[in-house]
Amino acid sequence: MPKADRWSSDEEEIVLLSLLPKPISHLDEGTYGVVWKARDNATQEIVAIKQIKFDSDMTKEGFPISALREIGVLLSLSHESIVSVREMVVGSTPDKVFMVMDCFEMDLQAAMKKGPGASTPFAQSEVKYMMRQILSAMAHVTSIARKYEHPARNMTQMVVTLWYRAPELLFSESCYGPEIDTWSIGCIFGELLIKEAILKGTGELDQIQKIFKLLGTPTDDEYWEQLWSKQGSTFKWKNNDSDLARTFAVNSFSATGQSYLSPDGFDLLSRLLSLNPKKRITAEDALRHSYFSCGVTEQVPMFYV
Amino acid sequence: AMIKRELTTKYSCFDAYLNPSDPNMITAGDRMKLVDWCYDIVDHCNFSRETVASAMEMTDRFLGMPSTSVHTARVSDEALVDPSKFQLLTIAALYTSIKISEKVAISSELFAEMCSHVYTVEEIEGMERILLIGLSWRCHAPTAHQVGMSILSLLLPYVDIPEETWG
Repeated sequence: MPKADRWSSDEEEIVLLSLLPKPISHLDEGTYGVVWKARDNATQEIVAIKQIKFDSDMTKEGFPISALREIGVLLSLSHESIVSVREMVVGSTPDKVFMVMDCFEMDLQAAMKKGPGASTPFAQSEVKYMMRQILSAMAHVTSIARKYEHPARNMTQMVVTLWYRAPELLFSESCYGPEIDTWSIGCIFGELLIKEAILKGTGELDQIQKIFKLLGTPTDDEYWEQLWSKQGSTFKWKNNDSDLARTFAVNSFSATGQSYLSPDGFDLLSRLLSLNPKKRITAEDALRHSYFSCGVTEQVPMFYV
Repeated sequence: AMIKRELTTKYSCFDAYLNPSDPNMITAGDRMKLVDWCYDIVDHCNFSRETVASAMEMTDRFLGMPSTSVHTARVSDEALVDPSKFQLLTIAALYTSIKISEKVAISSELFAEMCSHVYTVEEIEGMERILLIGLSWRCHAPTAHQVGMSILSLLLPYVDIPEETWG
């Protein structure tokens, strides 16, 4: 196991700064830890180092369960569109554990807001390229995650950032699978088209209302009737029709600030954003969708180059 | 390529591990007693026995393969000849395996209590850390049972194997 002193960073806890002329930045803070940019002193490569958070849980459960599982899954993944964990590094005290990962200039959100061409919509070919990458990465994650899944296991609903959280999770569905991720991908697809998050709820209830406003209230849907009846729900939801077609114009060249969307693209978007998780398209099937086989050829986005 | 990979020292197992000809070493009998103790724990908690298989896979890999650091090498060497250290290592592996595989985790305090306080919370958590470092945090390896079932699932469409013999 390599020692932490192979890396340089301005973060004192990672130790050893000698090689860097100026501070290397704090990149981001994820659910499980802070991410730092650092230099591998052995290879001079710039890497991202994520420090695992050790909260009060540490005193009750040893190495944090969430981190243990995340590390296990990330180490199992090997895909060109997924950031790879190169190795784990330990510091001088028990709470200093770091994941060394590939470092990228920017994430997708930064690319949308600050990358080259940020002021104009993505070309359809660029959106298609990114969607294929995201879906193929998700298909890989799903295939690996099957190894770790626990049948009929009740799980927490407090997963996924609110704006990307599937509606069934907002209604406390505790038995869920990869379909919650394809919902999130649908949200990202919409976001790529208009360069703005499509469902920006301010709380769980507001999120539900925004979802039903965009996609219509699920009426005459067996899944939702069962879920609501199981929960003894007393809420009455206002009946809305789907607003998706009005929000995402098909075959439109107007200057609405939206990327061009073919009918195939709209069909894929609506299948990803299916309110019924059982009818939601899987990542594997989405990759076989005509959106990818017909129409314009995919193109590497400008910010990649 | 797989054979080549298996032949590299990285994946080879120490001859000394569970070697009956060395009287100083822990034996397969010692290991078996600990497996039985682990089964008692998981049965008591209504956990899966696969969790024990996963824990023993981690223990075997930690002791049977070259260590990644001087510190883990020292702990590994000690556990190979000291039944008490071997027991602590196995307990830490079970503690970790439960966290990875089971829905409900056991707090380190309760776990120490279930071990009749033979080891302290600090000793179990300390050994967990050493185990994880020694395994480079790779603790989701398939167990022999999972490999067997995987092979069986590939064979089943082509052969007629009675269902009662699968498990």
